[in-house]
Amino acid sequence: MSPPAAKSAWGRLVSALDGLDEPVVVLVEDSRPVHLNPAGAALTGLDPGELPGDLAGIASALPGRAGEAELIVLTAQHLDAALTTPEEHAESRRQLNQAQAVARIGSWTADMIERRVEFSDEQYRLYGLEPQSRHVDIHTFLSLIHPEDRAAMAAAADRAALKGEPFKLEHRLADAGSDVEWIEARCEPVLSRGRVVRMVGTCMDITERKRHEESLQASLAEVRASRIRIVSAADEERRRVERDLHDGAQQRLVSLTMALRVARTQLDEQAHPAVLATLEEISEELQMALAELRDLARGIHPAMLTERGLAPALESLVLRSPLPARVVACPDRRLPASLEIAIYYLAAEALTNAIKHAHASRVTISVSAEDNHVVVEVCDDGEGGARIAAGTGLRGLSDRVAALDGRLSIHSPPGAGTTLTAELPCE
Amino acid sequence: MRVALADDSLLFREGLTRLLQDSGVEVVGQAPDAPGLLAIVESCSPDVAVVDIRMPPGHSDEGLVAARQIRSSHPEVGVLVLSQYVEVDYAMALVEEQPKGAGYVLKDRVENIEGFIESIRRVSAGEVVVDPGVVALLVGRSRERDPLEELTPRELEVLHLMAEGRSNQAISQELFLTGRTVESHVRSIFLKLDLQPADDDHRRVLAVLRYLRA
Repeated sequence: MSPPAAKSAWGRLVSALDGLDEPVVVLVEDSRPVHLNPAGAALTGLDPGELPGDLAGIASALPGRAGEAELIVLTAQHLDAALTTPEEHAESRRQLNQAQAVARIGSWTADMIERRVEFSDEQYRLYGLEPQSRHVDIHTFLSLIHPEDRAAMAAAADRAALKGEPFKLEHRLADAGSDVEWIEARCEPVLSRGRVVRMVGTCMDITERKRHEESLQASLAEVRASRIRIVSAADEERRRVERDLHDGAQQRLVSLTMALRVARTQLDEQAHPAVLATLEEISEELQMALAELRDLARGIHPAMLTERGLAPALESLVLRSPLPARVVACPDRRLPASLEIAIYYLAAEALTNAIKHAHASRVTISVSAEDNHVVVEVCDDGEGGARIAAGTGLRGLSDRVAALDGRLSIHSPPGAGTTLTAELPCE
Repeated sequence: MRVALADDSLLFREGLTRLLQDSGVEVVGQAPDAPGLLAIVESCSPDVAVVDIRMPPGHSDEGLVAARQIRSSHPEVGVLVLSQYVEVDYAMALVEEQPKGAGYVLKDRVENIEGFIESIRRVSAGEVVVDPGVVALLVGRSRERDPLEELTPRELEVLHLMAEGRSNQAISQELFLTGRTVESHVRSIFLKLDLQPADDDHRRVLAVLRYLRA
């Protein structure tokens, strides 16, 4: 603000000040002195036409230590009030209050020099108080805030007042008597020569937004939980099928091979050589069927994983791999079942890809358990160029890892091998 | 020879009992689970207990647990554990824990009843029996540099039999070789694989299995 634009008002003010016996200095903007009345000039000995650039320059001209108190300092805020007619003032205030009530935004100012806090009407209402019903200071303000959010607000307010740091803070109300539960408070400190002289702030009712967020979070958690349920139901089903095969079909076939054997011993070999030959053939077919069934059952669910844990199951996996594969690290302790299964399938799928698509010559598998997460890494020296989106196998793995709140990444530059890395949280 | 039998399938138990008895092996009792088997071992003192690895109630490794119990409470009773899967981990667990009189074979082996009875006999004689399928899996695994390639075909045959738990004498009978020749093959194998020679059969099985697995 340059010396006030309303010339007539400014002129009236200056002549009124000049007629006073009390020494007065008028400051604008960043406390730049613009006017010193004759009593002030007499007190300081300064020339009103050549005022120093700041208040300190005037203060240094004051006689004695206690002299400061004798000079009245008028600031821009005082001027605003002085230059507005009471009617204008009331009207603008009414409009502001109306706008704030509609927007559910309150505002406040804190004069740091005079240590005075002012709330707008809507600000009072947001905090569950009758407008202008009581005097507020920082302590009463804090008491209106939910106990769990109070410390954060106090710290933010401190930083704003002392260091001039603006803040934006979401907080709840101590007494959620009204429908307002959540408020977003913003604060802008006003600095003058490195010192916070004023703070202005707004508070907005964000209860509705918060409720939307909360319900969104709840649905997200539900989706997550159901995803885990789907994956573990599928795992459980595979485990059941494997057990059914083991206790049912496989067992029956083994018993059948014995029944055939009994039949052969009962047969007079000399008298029925053709029957004997047929029985031999059936027996061989049965052995092959058994072997195929066994591989199938192992693929559906590796019993080793459930019975002995991850390390033996991975050893069993690499032992059967047609290309050299090694487990370079794996924790001996048991991990949660869902995690063990995910890691096993990850390794199995990566191994299959290395053989089928990457034409690799060697694969290493490493599983390392940290405090709260497990890192799985499968590296091959094949062709590279693999992408998660490309193969349905990798897509499925990625979904499984995501269901466990983990992350799957692939590093597969063309011609330089593939490294599949999964990071899985683990309590 | 007197045998106790445990498997949760009645069909299997009856079939095996029939085959064993037809071959002159006495089946002193059969049970559907581990507690039943332990009771038979307690009351009938068989030479060998034949037990399926997966039995009720948990269908996990109850048979292995029972085998362990029998070996510690009745050291004179051998145990032969049956499994529908060839799992190196189970074979190793059994061989590492039981210095003698224990075996791990694939369930399908009952089809060749003579071979199966031979396994029972060996366990009863205090030998260690490892299924040829386990050995084949270990020997046949893909390696980046395969030291087994340095072995002659004959040495590889001897290695297989050593890993199955056969003694030098058994190997010489199986391969129609003299004891001296088998001994020299064994020495050569240990040298080529950089293994410490082991004097007793059990330590030899362990050394070879561990080597193949590593």
